[in-house]
Amino acid sequence: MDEGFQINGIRIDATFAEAFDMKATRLVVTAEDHYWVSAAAAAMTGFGTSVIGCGIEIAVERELAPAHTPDGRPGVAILAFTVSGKDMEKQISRRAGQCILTCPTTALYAGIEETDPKSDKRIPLGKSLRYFGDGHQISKMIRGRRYWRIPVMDGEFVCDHEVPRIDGIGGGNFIMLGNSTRAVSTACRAAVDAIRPLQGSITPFPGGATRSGSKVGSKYPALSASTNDAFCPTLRTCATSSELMRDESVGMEIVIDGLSDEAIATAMRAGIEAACHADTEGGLLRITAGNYGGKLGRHHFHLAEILK
Amino acid sequence: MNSWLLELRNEVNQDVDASPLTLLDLAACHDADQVNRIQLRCGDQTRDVGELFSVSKSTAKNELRICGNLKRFHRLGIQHRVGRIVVEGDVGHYAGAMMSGGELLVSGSAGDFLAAPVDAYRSGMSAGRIRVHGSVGHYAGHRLRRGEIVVEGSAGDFLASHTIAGTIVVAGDVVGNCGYAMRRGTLILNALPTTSRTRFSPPIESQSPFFALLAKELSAADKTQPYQAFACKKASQLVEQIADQGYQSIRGDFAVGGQGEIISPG
Repeated sequence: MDEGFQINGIRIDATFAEAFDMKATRLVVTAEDHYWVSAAAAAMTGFGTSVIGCGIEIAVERELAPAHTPDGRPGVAILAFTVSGKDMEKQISRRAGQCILTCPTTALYAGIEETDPKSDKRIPLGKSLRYFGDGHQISKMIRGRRYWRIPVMDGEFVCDHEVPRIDGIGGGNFIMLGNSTRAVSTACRAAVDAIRPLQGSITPFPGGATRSGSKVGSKYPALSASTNDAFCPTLRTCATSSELMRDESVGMEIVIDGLSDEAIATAMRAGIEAACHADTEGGLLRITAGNYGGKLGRHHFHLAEILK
Repeated sequence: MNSWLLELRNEVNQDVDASPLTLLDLAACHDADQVNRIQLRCGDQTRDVGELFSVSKSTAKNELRICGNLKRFHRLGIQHRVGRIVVEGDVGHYAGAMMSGGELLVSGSAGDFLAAPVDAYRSGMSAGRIRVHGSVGHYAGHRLRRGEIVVEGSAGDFLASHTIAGTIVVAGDVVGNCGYAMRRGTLILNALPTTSRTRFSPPIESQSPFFALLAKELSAADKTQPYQAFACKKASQLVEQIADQGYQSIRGDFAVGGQGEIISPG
């Protein structure tokens, strides 16, 4: 194993995170107040941690002040990533219909600027939700952008006709290893807190982190992914490929999806630096990254380059 | 594409069919002579544009600007579909008739049948935007299919009659029979008109984020060129008031099975 380098006494491996191409989009949800915005966003982004089992990776990108939303109400920007365009259509349509349309006072808008020329990669919003209006829905064009006004029990649900789909990147990551759960958890939270305000990236796992990092494949043919045994402390003695060092008994991973290489690199840099400077009382020992030997994805984020 | 400025030489006392003054035809003209030779029906006669207007090239992009009192010029901007027609003064009947895109800005008032269909056509304006800084005559927005009409002043009889979709905002007073036989579409007024209960629903109070989008768009447009000179501030304030404080609306015209909406501040 290469030596790597250190930040604040914490070893950074000379390795890279391997990320791959995904389909992405951004949605803006607004509501009368923060209570309903949070409720809608929580429902919309629920069960959206990994494409492996959820079909989508989706999370709140950032909160939006009323001055920055289309209708001048409080809102959030949500980023969504899927493997295919079809998955994106299916997931967004269902979630918009069941999680946003249902939530009192909400409205749903496209968060991606229109491209010139207009991209034909579109994800339907009102285009499919309008039928809920049972013929009473109203279509309105403002500056070439079509909106739908669907009558609901608290008035009207307003949404964009569709949202452009763009290319994104999924699977940026770094793994924090330490000698205590408390220390790694503290580092994890510091990292997520540092990433949260950044634009163009999300950390879709619960609280922004996962303890069940995975490798590709399994001894069970039906599974496409299984536990990353190389970083499981309880398998240190029996897994032949364990990458854990002495004293490393806890590992947690932050997975980052972003709209560009730059967005992921920025988020990884902010997260790693925050983790290294968190008050872990010496419990955080090493930071590494997950990759598949460079065979799975074409986006490689070398820790040394990101942090130099 | 060339942009042109046409300045009316003298007031015209006969009705002029201005339909040949299309932006696309004028844009294809390379020099002022070509524009001067365009013929217009003027009463019983035919007159060249050059006789009526002083013609010069304009530096604006994709624009036809006409200055003068065009009250007797009818059908200006008929079937207009791209670019901007700016009228500095009044304009006659059927302005913006059957528009399908682009913009028509009028600093004065417009005659009857603004954006309406002509002859035996059944559909009025189907897209685009019209702004009238003054008032409009009767039958404004007749058979509107889509698009946006903003009127800073008042409107005559049968405003928004037979509309199928689209949005009309009138900041000033409205006479009678507005929304007659409307099927769909939105008519925004400063006060609800008196309507028959057999044709329109009783007023209901509501609120919708849509009007914040519309208000934002109107006020943003007011701040851009060349809209600043044509800013419909009262109309923008009316929509802002609806966005902020909610609205009351009546739906109809039930006589034709319609569910258009007439909206005013709550």
